[in-house]
Parts: sequence; C-alpha cells; structure tokens
Amino acid sequence: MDIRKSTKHCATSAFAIFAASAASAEGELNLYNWGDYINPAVLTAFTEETGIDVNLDTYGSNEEMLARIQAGASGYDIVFPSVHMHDVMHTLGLLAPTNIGQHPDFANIDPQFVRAETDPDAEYCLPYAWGNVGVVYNRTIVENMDSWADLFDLAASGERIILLDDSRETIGIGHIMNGTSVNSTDEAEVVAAADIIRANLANVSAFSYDSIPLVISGDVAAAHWYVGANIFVQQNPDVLAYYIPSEGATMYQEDMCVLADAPNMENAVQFLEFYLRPEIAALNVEQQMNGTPNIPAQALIPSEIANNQTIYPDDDVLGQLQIFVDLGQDLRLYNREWTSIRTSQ
Amino acid sequence: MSGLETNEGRKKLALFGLLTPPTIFLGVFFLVPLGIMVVYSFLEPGLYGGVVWNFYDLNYGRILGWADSRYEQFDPVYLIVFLRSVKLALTTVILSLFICYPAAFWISRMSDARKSFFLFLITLPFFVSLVVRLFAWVLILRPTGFLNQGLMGAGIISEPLELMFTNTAVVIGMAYVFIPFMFLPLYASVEKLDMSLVEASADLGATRLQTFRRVILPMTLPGIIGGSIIVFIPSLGNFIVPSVLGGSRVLMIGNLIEQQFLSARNWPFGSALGMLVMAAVLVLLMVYVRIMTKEEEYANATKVKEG
Amino acid sequence: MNSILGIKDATKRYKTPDGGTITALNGVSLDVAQNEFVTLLGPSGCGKTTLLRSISGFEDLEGGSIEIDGAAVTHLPAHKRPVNTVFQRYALFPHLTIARNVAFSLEVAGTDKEDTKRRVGEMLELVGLAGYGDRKITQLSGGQQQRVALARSLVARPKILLLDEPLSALDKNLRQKMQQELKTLQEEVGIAFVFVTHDQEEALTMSDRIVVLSGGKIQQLGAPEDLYRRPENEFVAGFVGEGNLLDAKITSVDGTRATAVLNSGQRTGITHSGLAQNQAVKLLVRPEDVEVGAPSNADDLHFKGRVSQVFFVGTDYLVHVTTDSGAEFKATLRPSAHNRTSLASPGTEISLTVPQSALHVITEEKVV
Repeated sequence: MDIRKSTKHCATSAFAIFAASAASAEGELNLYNWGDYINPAVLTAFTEETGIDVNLDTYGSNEEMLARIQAGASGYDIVFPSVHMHDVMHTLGLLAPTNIGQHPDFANIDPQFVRAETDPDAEYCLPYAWGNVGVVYNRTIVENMDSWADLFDLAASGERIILLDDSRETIGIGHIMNGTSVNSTDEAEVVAAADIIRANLANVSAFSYDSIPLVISGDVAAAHWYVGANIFVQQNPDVLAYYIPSEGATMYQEDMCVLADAPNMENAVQFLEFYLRPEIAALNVEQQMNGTPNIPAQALIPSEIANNQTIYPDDDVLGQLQIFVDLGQDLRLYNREWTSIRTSQ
Repeated sequence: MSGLETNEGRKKLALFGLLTPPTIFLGVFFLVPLGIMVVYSFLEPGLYGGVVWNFYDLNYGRILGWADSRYEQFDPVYLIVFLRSVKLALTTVILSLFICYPAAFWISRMSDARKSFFLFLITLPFFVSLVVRLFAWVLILRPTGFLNQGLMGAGIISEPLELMFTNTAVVIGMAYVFIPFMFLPLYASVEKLDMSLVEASADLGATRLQTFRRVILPMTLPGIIGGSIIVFIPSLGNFIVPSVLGGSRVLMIGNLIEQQFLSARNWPFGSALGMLVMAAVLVLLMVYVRIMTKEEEYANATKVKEG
Repeated sequence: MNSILGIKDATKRYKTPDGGTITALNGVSLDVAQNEFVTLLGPSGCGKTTLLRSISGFEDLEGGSIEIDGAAVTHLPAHKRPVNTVFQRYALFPHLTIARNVAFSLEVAGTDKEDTKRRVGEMLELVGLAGYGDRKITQLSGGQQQRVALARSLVARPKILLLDEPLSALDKNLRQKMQQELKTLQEEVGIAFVFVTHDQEEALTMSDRIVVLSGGKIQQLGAPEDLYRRPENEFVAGFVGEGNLLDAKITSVDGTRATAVLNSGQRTGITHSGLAQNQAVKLLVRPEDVEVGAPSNADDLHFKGRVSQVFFVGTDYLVHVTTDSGAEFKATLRPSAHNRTSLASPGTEISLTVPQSALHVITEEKVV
C-alpha cells in the first residue's frame, strides 16, 4: 500500500546486487525488499565480512510481496513487511522464529518499536526502519507551509498539488483533519474522511508516487510524500522543503522478517544479527535518511540527519504520528471510498 | 493400426504432431489462467488476498446490481468506469488510426530500402522500457515541458496548456504506445491494395473522394478493423498509462482491476471485473473473425485466373 | 475525317534512377476517327503504354496537346475525361458484385437507380453475361472477367475506349475468340477503340489502322495491309510479319523505274520514286512470296541453297535456307498433296525464285 522508497518509484525494476568480493562457498542470502529501501553498502559490508553473497529483489507494495510469498517456493530468505503485514504474515504462518529478541545486541533496539501485536517479544522479526509521511513543497512557489490545511489552501489558490496513490494514506489525511483515527472502521468516519478529499478533489492534479521531479521543476507546487524526500531537500536546499503537518501525520515502520520456508535460514539470522550493530544501522540511515530504532546508532549518524526535526521529531510531534494497523474485512470500506474518490471528476 | 501404413495416416500423424505443441501451449498459458479467472470470479475473497472456496455471486452483484451488504454493495461506478474506459479506448483507436492511415500510404510508396528503415523505426520503441517512455511523455506534456515551452516560444499560446494528468494525456500516451499495433495491420492491407484499382476508379469518373470511399476504404477495411481491435483491446484494459500520464485522476477499468489484486486484496472481484472486459473483447473478436473471413474472399478475388 | 481524338506533338520524358532521362514520347501526332479501331503496336518500352495513359489522363504530357471530340483535355484529370480503359489485368473491384462493378461509373456520376439497373442489364447482355450480375468476381473465369471489364468501361458510353493489352492474360484459343468478339463489339457500339499490344498478329487481325511505335516515335501509321506490304522502314518491316531483307544497290534510274543489283550480282528492275544512282537500298521479300523452282521471268530473283531448318506451322512449312552465297533466307512453302516431305527436309538442295512483283523497296534505315 505504501512505498518506502527514497528515490524514484519503479515497481517493475528488480535487480540483484552481487557482492564486491569473490563468490564464496559460504552460500547466499536472498532479500525481498521495497525498491531502494536499503543502502547497498550494508549488503557489501555483510558480504565482505561473512563471504555470503546477497541477492536483492524488490516489490512495490505489501500485497504484492504477500501474494508472491503465499504462492510458495519464492526462494527468498528475508522480507521487509510493514508492521500490520508482519501481523498478517505471522497469522498466516509464513514467518520463522529467530529469537532475535534474545540476542544480547537486541538491547540496542528502542522497545517502543517492537510494535507487532503478534510478536511482542521479537521472537520473529527485527524492527528495521521507520519514518513519517508529510508534505514536500517548492519554496520558489510558496514561501512557507506547515499543515494539511495549508496544502489544500495552496491547491484552492490554483497551484497544482499531488497526493499519494494510496487509499489509506490519502483517506488518512481526511481522518487526521477530522481528528479521527486513521485506523477507524466506523463507516461514517471513513466516509467523512473521504469527503475531505472529495471536497478538494478538483484542485488535486494527480494521485502519484512520482511527484518529486515535478515539484523540483515547479510543475507542481507541493506533494504528499515520504520522509525520504529529505534526500532531495538536501540536494536542492533552495528549492525544496519537507514538513510534518501540524495536525499530525501517519508514520510507517517495517520489520525485517525471516520466512518460514527460507532456504538459507542460518545466513538470514546472521544478517538480522549483523543489522543489530549500531554502525551498520547508522550506515543505512546515512543513505536512506529515515529513522532507525537502534538507539546507539542515532549517535553515529551525521548530525544534519539526527538533528532534522522531520526525520527525528520531538516527542510531542512523534506522539501525533499514527501507524496503520491491519483492518481485515474493513479494508473494503477504504477501497470503496477510494474507488469513489478516483472516479469522481 | 491400419492408419499409419497409408499416406493419409501419415498425414494425420504429421498434423497431429504439428498441432499438439501449440494446442498444449494455448491450453496451459491461455485457457487455464482464463479458467482460473472464471472460477475465482465466483468465489469469496480471502481476508489477505487469495480466495475462500465458497460459491459467491456478489462479485458480479457489485457490478450488475444485486449486492447490498456492508462489504458488498452495488455501485454503478464500475459500469461507469467501464464505459469511460471504452470511450478512452475508442478515442485512442481513432487517434492512432488518423496517424497511421496516411503514414501507411506514405511508407508503402517508398523504395524498399526506405520502407524497411521506416518499419524498423516503428518497432524501435519496443527496445526501451514502457515505463521509461511514459515518463518521457510526462517531461514533454508537463507545464514546463518541451511541448508547452515550444508552443509558448513560438507564440502560439501564452499560458501553458493543462495536458498533464488529463484524459488528453492518457489518450496521447495510449495512442503512442499502441501505434505500432495499429500501423502494422493497416500497412499490410494498404500495401496489398492494388493501385490499378484506384486508377480504374478514377478512369471510371470517380473523384478522389469517391475513389477513397468506394474503393480504398472498403479494400483496406480489414486492416482498419484489425488494427482498431488490436489497439482497442489493450487500451481498454490498460492501467500503466492512466496511472503515469493520468496521475490516477483518469481511472480506467484496468486500474480498478489492478487495485483489486495489488492493494484491495480482493482477487474474486478483480476477476469479475476482468470477466467484464473479457466479454467485451470476445464480442469484438467474433466481429473480427467475421471480417477476416471476408478479407480472405477479397484476397482470392484479386488473383485473376490465368487463361 | 471526323476526328474524335487528336494528339499533337505529344512529348514525355522520364528520369531514370541513375540520373539519365528516357524519352517515352517524342513528338507523337495522331488522329483517330469516330468508329475507328486503332492499335498502338510496338515492343515493350516503345511508348505505346505512355501514349495510352496520356489519353486516359494518368500521365501528364510535357509538351503537345490532346483533344477529345474537339475539346482540349491535355491537363484534365483522368476522372473528367470522356474515355474509359480496359486494364491489362482488368482491375475489377473484388469487393463488389459483377453488377456493381459494371454500375460503378454510373453510380459515381449519380445516374438514377432505375436507369443504372437497365443499362447494366443491357451491357451484361451485350457481353454475354446476362444473369451473372449478382455473382462475385472470384466466381468468374479469366474470359468472363474480361467481359465484365469491357461492360464496365462501356456502360457510361465513353467517346473512346482504351484497351491496355487486355488479351495478354488469356490463353491463345480464348485470345483469338476474344479478338473477334472485340472487333464485333466495337462495330456494335460504334465508338473509337484505341488498343495497345505488342503482338503484331493481334494488331493485324483487329485494327482499322495500326500505329507502329519505337523509341517514342511513330515509325509508321497505316492500314494493316499497308504496314505488311509496304513498310516504310526496316524497323516496321522487321517488326510486322516475317521477312527477308536483301541488300541492293541502285545502278541506273529512269524516272520511277530503276535497276538494282544484289550482292550476289543478280539484277532486277524495280519501281520506286526518288531513287538515286548508287543509292543503297533493301529489298523486302515476304516468305510466302517465295516459290520453289527456277525463274520464268528475267527480272525474277533466283537463289540456290540448302535447307537448314524446317518449322511446320500448320498448313505451311517455314523453311530456313542457307544460300550458296552464305545468306539466310526464309520461305513459306505449301507442299502439294503428293509431295509433303521431300522439299522440306534439312540438308535438301533447293532452288528458290522470288518474283519481281514481290519485291518491296525500303530506302530508310531503322528510325529511332
């Protein structure tokens, strides 16, 4: 449903990273991850240390990944589901226990990130990364913005804006503005949230993940996007800015899980343990510009990231971030409203 | 036993040998998936994708009108989206036809070497990823894109045209993607057109327009219809172009189907929507087969019996 | 002469791919009378098809003019000219029935339905295809398609019918039958036919007049018999019918009477105006004018030789003879009932006579 990537979306691209060192007899490890959601340097470091070759395939949504794993014989060892999908996969018996929570280095992990209801003691998965979903805008078009209301006002003033092509994220904006939970299954609340989007629909240019280049060029004034937008803000500081809207926003978190039918179980567990090291988690954040649940790692990351309020917000802002849970059957309420939003013109 | 000894028997065996692989191929890669779709469309959706093996008619009920529960409600929107897709697909067909028909005549009059070169050019886009080519169109159509810059530079417009994320952009994108499919059958029938028939028509007193309407059009009709159908079918079910160039503000039936499989976790409903498209395509294919049969007759007719 | 078609000084050049030019028509002038059957005859590339297409309007002349029934049509597009064409491969419309094919020119002209139906019926009857109207083109034989093409071109009552080698796709028997039918048809409809062919026999059979073309120029224009008996130059003599050309030199001239001497030294008196002393000429002898035996007249020519080849051509034998002086000589011999073989077997010694009256003097070289 959401895309956790920091650069351009291309769900169809699937590529393998072959470690720099010579292939070894230590075997291999097959990762199935969101597009551009891990620093290749992490994989290289793992191969250099262990001699294990790492292959990487990518997906564009939790559902795409789930369908592939459910079909069986995927050959993958590790996947990166969002927390609610972690629960779903656990319920479906697709995950293997790793006892990662018992590892001495697990003390590095901030316990508040062990979120999955089905895995309260981290017997299965390792919290991987987290971030928020806010707004990126072009500073040459609009000087200052800090709320969802600003975004829609900007749209009403005739500037183009783009929202994410994602039912829960986009209807979630309505929930946040109405003060209801983004996980609400109350039909009236969901309809009311969708009404906010419908009311502003005429001023929404598109629902798309591919908005960053258009914001940079000024073709679009602002876009609903992930915290990873900070990478582009850093590259174009005079043009771009990213903020977490003052009404609140959603956050996401992915966990690193080993599959029950992983062909390289030992290597997979070894990778989870490898990623517990603060310097490795920090290496990943350096390129990904997102949040890590690894506390000592936060001391190792570059200060401009650690001090960036949009990446590591204060606790009061953090408290306003809501995370999606799985809705089961009630997901259909959102799909129904989403279809209705996208078909009204 | 006796059959294999005779010539007839050997012929039958050879025919059997030749036809078996394609039959198996079609069976495995076309009919089986189609069968799965049909079966799934009558099953209950699984909570996390997949299906529950209970007979369930509400997938069609949602589209056609008898579903009414918290989770399964009839909504005319699916039929509206389907009709809107038909309209966009038809517009795409007409636009690509208007581009390809004169081009086919133009290229068919060239020397063989230039002909091959142009035919190669028309297939060239296939060497580049579709998604990359569509993003190139975003660069062309956006307000600060090449098209608007060019038109404003030439003083034709003063404000950038709103093309990006509109029906127009989707139609341009689909016509661009499917032009080779329109061009090739059209070209085949235009190239076959006997120019002496055109001369005969003029000789018999027909003006250019009359010649076009009475001779050229009917003689190239199989190519026009063939190309139109081959463009119409993938346009109708397309979801990549409306999501990239339409910014998902232009919703086609293909996007709805994609959404059911990739985010709504409702495979049976996706299958039922797919069957709707399938039914439309089947009707068209039957029309096509009838026309191709007619063309066969034309083809025979153009061979004058010697003597 | 009541002229329906007048062509003056028609000129047309084509560019060749390698940058040269080909002169397809080089100052061609021609008048065709109402009711006349005129054939354009010549080898391929002689310009006959270009001339026909200039009349129908598919080629634009570079120079010269064309008039049809007194009206200038030189730059009129094809569909506005009151002429119709029967194409080499008929060019029938495969998507239309026979009746609709025939009705085509009436329909585009907006003729009313009743009238169209009646005239189509009449035309089909005229060409012997009454009752075939609803059939498809595919269901017809080549000869029947030919008739449909004729009916289609005649139904609008053109002032001239142009025929572009229409019989070349037919086998020989059918072709001969169609030649006669065409001639009859032309007499019945009473309009001028301009017929293109490279087949001299066909031209001789059907035409009132024949235009022999070569190199874009008219070599000779005349009645079939004129062309055959009195070719004006070597090209026509060689192209129309079989013939022997004998080199000769004029030794004395007395008005229109002259004496010519052959290479073999034989002398003969000829009648021809405008000859000069010592002029080199050719004497044409048609094979059928050659007789077997010694001459009875002093002015007749006499050849002795040996039969080299014999071709049985139906009633006659075409015999190739190598004369004692080494020349090739062709003679058509009709054996008498009691002697069918002896004179016509290779190797036989033979004595041939050419009567003086059978000699035709050609003074002009091949004109190209």
